[in-house]
Amino acid sequence: MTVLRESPWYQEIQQEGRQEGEQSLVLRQLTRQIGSVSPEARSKVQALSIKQLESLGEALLDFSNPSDLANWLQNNGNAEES
Amino acid sequence: MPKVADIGGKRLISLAPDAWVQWITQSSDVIAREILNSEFQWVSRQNDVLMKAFSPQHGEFLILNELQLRYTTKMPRRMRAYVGLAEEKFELPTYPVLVNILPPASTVTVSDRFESDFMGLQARQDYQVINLWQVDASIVFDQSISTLLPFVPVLQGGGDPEVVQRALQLLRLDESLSELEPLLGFFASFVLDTELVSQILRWDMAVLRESPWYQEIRQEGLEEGLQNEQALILRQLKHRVGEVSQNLTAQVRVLPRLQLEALGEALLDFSNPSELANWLQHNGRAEQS
Repeated sequence: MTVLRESPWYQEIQQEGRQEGEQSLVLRQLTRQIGSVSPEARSKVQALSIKQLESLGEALLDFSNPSDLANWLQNNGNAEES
Repeated sequence: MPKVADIGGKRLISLAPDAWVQWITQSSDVIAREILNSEFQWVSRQNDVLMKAFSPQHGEFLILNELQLRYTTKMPRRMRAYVGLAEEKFELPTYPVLVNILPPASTVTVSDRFESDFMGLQARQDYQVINLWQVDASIVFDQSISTLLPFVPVLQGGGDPEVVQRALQLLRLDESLSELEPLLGFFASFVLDTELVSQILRWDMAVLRESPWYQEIRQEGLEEGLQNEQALILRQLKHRVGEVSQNLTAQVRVLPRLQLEALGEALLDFSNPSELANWLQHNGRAEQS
């Protein structure tokens, strides 16, 4: 039923998919740039909004070690809100 | 298992065709004969179900069910057109029914008639209107109109968690109905918070995520997300190698997902545009054509 596509829940699931591609791209790029991404940092990255994820995508080009990511997450992530 | 969004009105009406036609015509002697193929040439139709029905009083006739999420002012003309097409094709009188699922904007009045008067020539088509939000949810249970079960949350009084649960129990009782469970969930999410919906339905989100229909919807999102990935990669390229020519940008835009992802990793080592051009030459679409 095409009307289902407009239901909030359907769109939430779609949104998850929409975000997933960029998430995995950024995570793979991070792994390549800084060696390895800790499970903790990984889950923080997964919790980022699309906007945050995209700005991380540009910032990571200048990263060279895990602390660059940790710093970025501290300054730009969701941590302070919780 | 069909895609959840492809479970159509046909499937729902065929759950209880007689109960359905009796309810929409408000006559207890009407019976459903068959669901017809209503693919009319020239008209794209997705939310309609055309059925052949019979009653002792009216003999054989057609019932045209049109399902709309929200009524729009285009509906009267469309109803008139579909009735015309159906009558022309099957040469039977038609009883048209417009089912509106959610209330329209407050400025819109739902009309149950098409009327026109052009250069003195008049046309008119009446149709039955069913506004689901005005239908008492209890009739679904009292009259066993199984077709309406997944719609219970959007019916009048249906947004009550207990009522949603009752509908769920009925769906779970019958194995052939259980595939409609997600439908119930989707309609519930129109009126209730999605987290509350999964609580009411006692859905285990971990199990849900593994279900084929969930994966399919996620996949739809993934395809749409490809454009965002492209945009991010183009920005990263600009950051890495400076301005990217239109020609190269166009080549990046046509990369399939896997290659786009490979480019995402490769670009981390780029430092000038010629490296991108090189990479595209070896990995892009160009060589395949």
